[in-house]
Amino acid sequence: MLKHIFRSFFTLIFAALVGSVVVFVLLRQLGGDVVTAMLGKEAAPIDVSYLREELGLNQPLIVQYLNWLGDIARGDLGTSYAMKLDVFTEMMRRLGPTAMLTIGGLIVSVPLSLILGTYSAINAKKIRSGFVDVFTTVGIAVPTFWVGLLFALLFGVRLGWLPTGGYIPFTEDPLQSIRSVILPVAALSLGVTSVFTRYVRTAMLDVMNEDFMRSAMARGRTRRGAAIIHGVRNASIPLVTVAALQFGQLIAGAVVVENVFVLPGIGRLIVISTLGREVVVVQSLAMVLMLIILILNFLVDIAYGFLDPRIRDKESVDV
Amino acid sequence: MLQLRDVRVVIDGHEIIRIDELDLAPGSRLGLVGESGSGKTMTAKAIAGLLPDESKVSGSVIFEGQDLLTLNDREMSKVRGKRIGFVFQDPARSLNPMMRIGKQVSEAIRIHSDLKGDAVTAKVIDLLHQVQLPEPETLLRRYPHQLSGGQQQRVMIAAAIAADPDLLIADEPTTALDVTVQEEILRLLISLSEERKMSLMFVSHDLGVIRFVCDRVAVIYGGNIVESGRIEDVVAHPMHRYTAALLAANPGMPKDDNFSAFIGKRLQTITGSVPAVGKFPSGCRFRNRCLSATDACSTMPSPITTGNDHRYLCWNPGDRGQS
Repeated sequence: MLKHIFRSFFTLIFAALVGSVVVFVLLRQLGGDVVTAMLGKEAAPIDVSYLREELGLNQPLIVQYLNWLGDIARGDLGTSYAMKLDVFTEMMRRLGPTAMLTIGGLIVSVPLSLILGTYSAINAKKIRSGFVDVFTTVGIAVPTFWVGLLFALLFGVRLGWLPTGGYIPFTEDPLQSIRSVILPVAALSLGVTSVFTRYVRTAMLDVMNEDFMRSAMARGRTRRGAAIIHGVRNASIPLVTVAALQFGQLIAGAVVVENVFVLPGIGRLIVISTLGREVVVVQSLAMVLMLIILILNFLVDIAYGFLDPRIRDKESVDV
Repeated sequence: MLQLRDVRVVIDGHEIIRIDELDLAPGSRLGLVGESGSGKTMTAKAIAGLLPDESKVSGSVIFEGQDLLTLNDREMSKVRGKRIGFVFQDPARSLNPMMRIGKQVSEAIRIHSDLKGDAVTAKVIDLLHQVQLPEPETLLRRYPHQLSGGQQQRVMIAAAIAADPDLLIADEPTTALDVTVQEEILRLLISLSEERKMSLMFVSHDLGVIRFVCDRVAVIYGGNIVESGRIEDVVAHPMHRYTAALLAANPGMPKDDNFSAFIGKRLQTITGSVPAVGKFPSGCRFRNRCLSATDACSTMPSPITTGNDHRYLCWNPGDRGQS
């Protein structure tokens, strides 16, 4: 078990380093020259050289990279040039809407996927599982921003049930706060739920064929009872891994949804910074989001060990 | 207590099982013997209602006066575990790897009785005692992978008899186990059936094992019960040619239990192998492998019953010519 944790931790560090190089190099290369990107082609040479100095761009690339890594390790995500804001402070200020969206998305999509996927697996050979298939196919096919717009038009504009945009902090008015994220969370969850339902269905179908499912039925469980009591727990082992990956999808989806519903979250900050050509800010935000996803995967990897008694018992695990 | 009449199982248009008559008396132990592919496990599954969805079953399986084939999944789940217990071949795969032993043994109790909490635990400990497992109190907190194969099968048996069923169906319960463990499990099944007055249907490919456990035997080939009767009658005077061939192919079947008697003696085999589904010949399904087949065998023989309820389906019966 200890070896398992150690190995997962090593994977986390390695993936974070590789990821940081990718983020750094991609943004430096794709965006062209950082200063030109920020100031435009017509900028005065003196401004350009001043900014180059300030951003440390005259140093070798490797030094720039290490400096940036060091800053991030200290929690210094740099300063937005245009807005004159400390990125870390700004990110913390905008954490609320993004956290509500992603956690809300998780709370909605995971149980819903488990129910739909299990239902579809139990009734695999019956017509009623087809309804689930139709739902997931549509859910996977339609883009999140379009769903968001449709929801806003129907429930916000046409029916007037829910606000179409804006955000009220949870601490200010919990009820209104939840109301303000219902539509964004619904739009965000549709795609993730659809994909995850497919995974649940496949995992459950695999488990349904196991001998111990037959044993459970032989003791008097119905097919459904056996699926819920014995199946879900066994299917959960492959599913937790997928769930962690789906969380990455939720964060990506939050960027889109925040912009459709005008929520002042981190996703909105990323878009504003990208449009403002704030390479430093985008680079740091990308790194932070990547770290969140990696750490989550690490935690899931450990949880995996605790979920399965066979892994828990083993001193070394060959994954 | 259990009567199968005209039971047919059809999968993908192929008749897998065709049993015109098979009876199990209360308190008796019936062996169901045949090669792999003979339909013995299918028969057990048909009784349990655990056949794959695409199979069509007709006829009647009367258990304690009730036709099980007329019950739906929910009604059948009230029979399974409570009135009929099941033990399967591979105990390692038949136990849920993520669930503690105690929970799996108590499952049938929790489903079929009103017992709760400590009463359930007490019963589970008692059951683990009955299947002769050491330290039941600590055992019930363990997981299946922490047990040996023999212990796992004892756990399966404890779980199968937890709700005190009247009939236990054991499908090759010792095939996956070591020979030494095998005999212990067989003795356990015999003693449990005697103490609890529980009938036993024992499915196996091994006539030697069935002779050890059962008082009656039914020989199945190609989904037909080709011969049935008291085990000593069938072993001593096999009437169907397939039974005779099975006996001749079994090294553990000398009549006088004298091991030296068959050392160096060439073991007989049954020519050919069990045909694939749908490839059985018409009439007697064994005729393409039978050394004594005649033209008459191309039509299905009618059952013949002799003394002691010894029943067989053969045009050319007898143990003449076969040792």
